[in-house]
Amino acid sequence: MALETGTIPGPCGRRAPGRSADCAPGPDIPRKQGGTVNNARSQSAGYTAGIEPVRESGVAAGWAPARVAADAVRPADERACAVLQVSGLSTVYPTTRGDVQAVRGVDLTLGEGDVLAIVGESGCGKSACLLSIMRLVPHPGRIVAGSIMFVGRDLMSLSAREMREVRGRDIAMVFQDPMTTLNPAFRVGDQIAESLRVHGFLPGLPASLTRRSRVRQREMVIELMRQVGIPSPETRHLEYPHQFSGGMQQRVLIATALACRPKILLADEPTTALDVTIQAQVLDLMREINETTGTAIVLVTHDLAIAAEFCREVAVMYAGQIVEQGPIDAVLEDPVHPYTRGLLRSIPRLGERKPLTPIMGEVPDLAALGPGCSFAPRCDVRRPCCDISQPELVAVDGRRLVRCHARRD
Amino acid sequence: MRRTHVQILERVLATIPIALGVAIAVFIFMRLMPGDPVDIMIGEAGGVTQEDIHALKTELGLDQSLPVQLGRYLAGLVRGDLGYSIPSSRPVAVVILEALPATMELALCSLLFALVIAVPIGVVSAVRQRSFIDRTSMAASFLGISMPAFWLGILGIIVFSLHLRWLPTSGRITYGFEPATITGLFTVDALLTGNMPALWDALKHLALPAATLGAGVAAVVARVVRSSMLEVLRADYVLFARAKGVVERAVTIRHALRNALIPTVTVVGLQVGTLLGGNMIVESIFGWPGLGRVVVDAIFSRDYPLVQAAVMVYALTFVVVNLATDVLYTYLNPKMTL
Repeated sequence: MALETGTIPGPCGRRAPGRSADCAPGPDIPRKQGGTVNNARSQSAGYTAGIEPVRESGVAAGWAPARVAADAVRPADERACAVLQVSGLSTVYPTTRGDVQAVRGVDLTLGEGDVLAIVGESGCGKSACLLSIMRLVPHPGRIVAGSIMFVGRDLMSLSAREMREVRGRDIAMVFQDPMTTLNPAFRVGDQIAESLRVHGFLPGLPASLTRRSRVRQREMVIELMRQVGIPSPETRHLEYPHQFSGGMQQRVLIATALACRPKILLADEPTTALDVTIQAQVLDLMREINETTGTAIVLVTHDLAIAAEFCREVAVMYAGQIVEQGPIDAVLEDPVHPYTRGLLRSIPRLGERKPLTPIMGEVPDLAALGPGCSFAPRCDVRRPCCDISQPELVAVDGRRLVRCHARRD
Repeated sequence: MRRTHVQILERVLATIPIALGVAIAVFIFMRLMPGDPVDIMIGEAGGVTQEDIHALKTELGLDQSLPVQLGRYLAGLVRGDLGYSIPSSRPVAVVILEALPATMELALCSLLFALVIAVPIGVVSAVRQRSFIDRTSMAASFLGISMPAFWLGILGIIVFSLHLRWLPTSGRITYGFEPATITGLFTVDALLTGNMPALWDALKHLALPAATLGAGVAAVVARVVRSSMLEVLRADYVLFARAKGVVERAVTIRHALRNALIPTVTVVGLQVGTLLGGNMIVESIFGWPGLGRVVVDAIFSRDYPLVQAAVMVYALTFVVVNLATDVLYTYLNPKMTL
């Protein structure tokens, strides 16, 4: 029961995230214990075929048919229990110029089955944020502050071994470029199976060499590939990644990530490297997964249209901080932060012949940030105080959070 | 027959023109060297008349014009007749087959030594980049690349044979220890016949020459493994493997090293050339009765048939090693076909 932070209620009774500084534990919606949430795994259904992996526990383990759980598609407000609560997360990359502050005090709350988009320009810390949640920040980068609560456990306090067990099993991640994310040297089926094997859904060596376990591996892999919509998986699981198209590769990645039925899927620009039509297919697949299994999704993207299409909630990041967060409709229709407004103005619209308005200036050097608002140098509503002090992330119109001195309340 | 098999067969057939080219080139280059075998032989013997010289040249066919000599040589090659060694009058094929196992044993052991040392060093240096181990091993590999084999070999003899008296100075095996001949490789034969004293003795004789010959290869391979590991460790699929929850050691070995080996195989294939070419020096230092020493002696005595045949053996070995490299490459890299 360590999840009692958060401030303002979300649109459907869900809580929107808040800064941990202003959110002392208080009376709030009663919430399930972390342990109960864990059971949700066994309730979630296979998203098309209605089967799910059962953890290997001796001889009789197998893929048991699961109940097609009705509660997997229950409305969002009923599954409001936070599976992931990130607070004050800060990550730096030491360089010769000083510490690059890639992530600066990010707070996020993800309820079960939530879909959250993180949008922002390149280099604003979106990907670093996801990698930090996985505790996979590449050397020499490191997380310097914050906590990452996953169903009642602080991931920051886990040992390397415990964290490894969380990765892929509880929290899975897919990356931007499927072409480079699949290992070129291994068959696609083996890469999917590896996910199952490391978490004990398939036996490891040497038991995996027996004929029985090879057959079982084949069945599970083919089933997973079918679920993500890869045609003729019976033959294709023996192929290598380069024999797949980009869209099919991304489906393989998703199958790999979802093999162990994680509670959270972190998707780092999963459609950026794909054609527009394929993008839509991949997004549809992710939506389907979210709706049928209740896997919560954090979608990092620089494409606001994708966020609008796909997510219920959006967090806009700038220079390592969340500058505006709230329900997607509210943020897109009536942006409060000048950066969000700028982002929206720079999107081309079909049928409009108006010239686009880019955001002037450049993203600040994250190794040499001043004391003031990091957006101030590019801001069109800048005030004197913007150069002196950091604005706090505060609730605006009861539905969202904005980090701006010049905001209207 | 599978596609790969057809391709391998094509490659084998393609060696025929290569062999022909090598034969002609060696023939011409040998003739370009000043002096001929008869001159060398009469220089060593005394009281030889012009008639004797002429008779000897006629007997050896050296009085014929060069195109005729070349034609005869090539005709012999086609029949599988490599001719006779000039000074010893022994069949060239026999001389080469006697020396070849020693050379192969030395080359294989050097390669094994190099790989066993270099691959783990390369991997550890990459995983712990800029650590003490990394810096030390890269400095050592720099030494290994720069140090000539004749110097390293002699240093080894002085330290391990003369001062420490651990290892013999020269030879392949102590007289009387030879195992029954099966493959001609003493270590393998000793293993096959269960002759442990012979195995131990052969290994002691192998240690210094194999280390001397393998040091340069190990140095190059360690650097290649390190740099390709460094590249591969930054790849997305390595991060993805970690995100799947794969144990770090499996990430390094299964995902990273497997891919880092692709460029390494190419380099190792090329280094086999060093093992064969460099063995003339190492075999001379350690009195190793292999092909390298045979070739050096044959060149000094202008033993045309023997040099021609030996160089042909070297060339064919190169072709075979290249083919093996390519086959291994396609196995490691599914994107490649032969």
